[in-house]
Amino acid sequence: MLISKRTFIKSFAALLGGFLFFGCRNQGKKSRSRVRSVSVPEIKGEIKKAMQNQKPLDSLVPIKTPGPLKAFPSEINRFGMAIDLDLCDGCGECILACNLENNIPLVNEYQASKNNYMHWMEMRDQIPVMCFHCGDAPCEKVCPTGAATHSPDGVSAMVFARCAGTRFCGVNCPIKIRKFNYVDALEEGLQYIANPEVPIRERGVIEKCSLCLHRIQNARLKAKTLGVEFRGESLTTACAEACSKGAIQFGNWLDSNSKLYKKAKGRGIYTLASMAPFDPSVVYLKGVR
Amino acid sequence: MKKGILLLLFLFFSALILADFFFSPSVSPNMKKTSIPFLHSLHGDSIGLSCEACHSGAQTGREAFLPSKADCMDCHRLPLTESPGIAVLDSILESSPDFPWKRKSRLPSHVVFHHGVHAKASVSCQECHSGEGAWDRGEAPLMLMNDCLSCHRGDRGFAPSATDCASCHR
Repeated sequence: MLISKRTFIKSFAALLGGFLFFGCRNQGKKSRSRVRSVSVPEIKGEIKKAMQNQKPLDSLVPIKTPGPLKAFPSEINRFGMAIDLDLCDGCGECILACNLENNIPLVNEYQASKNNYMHWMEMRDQIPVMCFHCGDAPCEKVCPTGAATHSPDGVSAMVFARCAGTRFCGVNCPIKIRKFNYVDALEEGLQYIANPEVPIRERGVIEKCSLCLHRIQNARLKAKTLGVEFRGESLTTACAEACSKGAIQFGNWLDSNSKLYKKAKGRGIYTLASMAPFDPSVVYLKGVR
Repeated sequence: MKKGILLLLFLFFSALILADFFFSPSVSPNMKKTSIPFLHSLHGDSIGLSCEACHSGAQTGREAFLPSKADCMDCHRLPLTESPGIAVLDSILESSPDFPWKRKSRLPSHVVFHHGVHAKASVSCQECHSGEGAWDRGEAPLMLMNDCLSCHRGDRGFAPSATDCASCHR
């Protein structure tokens, strides 16, 4: 025998310890050395590419004006949006505004070739489609970790830190608008970082329109600190702000003084046929009733 | 033979413990060292300054800020006491940078915490930040979500508050 058993065990244990040290060396401090912030023209280019290859759209069906949520009947707020299809010409300004507001990353070439973009808003047959914030959301029912939840004021929210990436919600969404983060955008230099209010999502979580939840939260906290009732009068979303035709209107469905309520009054209210049973908070407006 | 296995086990676990000791993220906050010998207890307990006096925003804003040198100088422009230490302090203040304290919040970016709302609900600073003595000893309390939740559920003597995820998480 060349070496004794004792020497072998000793050196083996030392080697094992060494490997442990080596393996643990970067624990707790992720290297962000290659962080590169994406420029706006790159995002515009990606939106253009996505809009050239649009997915088909369901037919539109009329629905009633969204009312109080079944799960929270006593709430005084239900936030939502209306998209006026008589004014919208599908220019895509809203997609850009959304991407910039929510730090939405670009995708790599492989995902782009499969037409998988991270855009929370997208055009389908020249009509903007985003999460409709269903009052009776099918995605939330299948989330095993509770990451997809409904807030009492009508937002179908995603708690990114809790998402384990099962993608059940994405499968159960009738319009498949939930986007799975296949790419580590920070690592690949595809992350756009501009708005400190919105967290950068890690790889392996589902993302979707949050109805600009950060704006709602900030406004609510401010109103509570000042001791005034919060109905979201001065609130708007990034896409609504950016629309030069004024086609998108954010507001409170349960407040008759809300701009949204006034805009939708007397108009034909529509949603996609596959969404109709789920009580959406974001609706389309077309013609008069 | 048995000794060999014991040695192996010992080495294995000590390697784990050492690795944890060296590479685990630090618990203390990300605070820049300053030469100013500041004591919270000297300013709070003994002369009765409120936290808001130096940490502006603590009562009304979303964030509570750290004082600048100018905030210190508001009071320390003149020698305040007969104590011999005050001359030393004044000379240190003289040479310190305009913003002696810099601190990166440990609040993760997916959580929103508003100081003003909690102050409005008459939650004192000490409920979360522990007493002045702890800060002087260099201990910074670590708040976990359970600490938030126990209070929001009404277990700590305050009125129950929102516990839906989207109130605080984004």
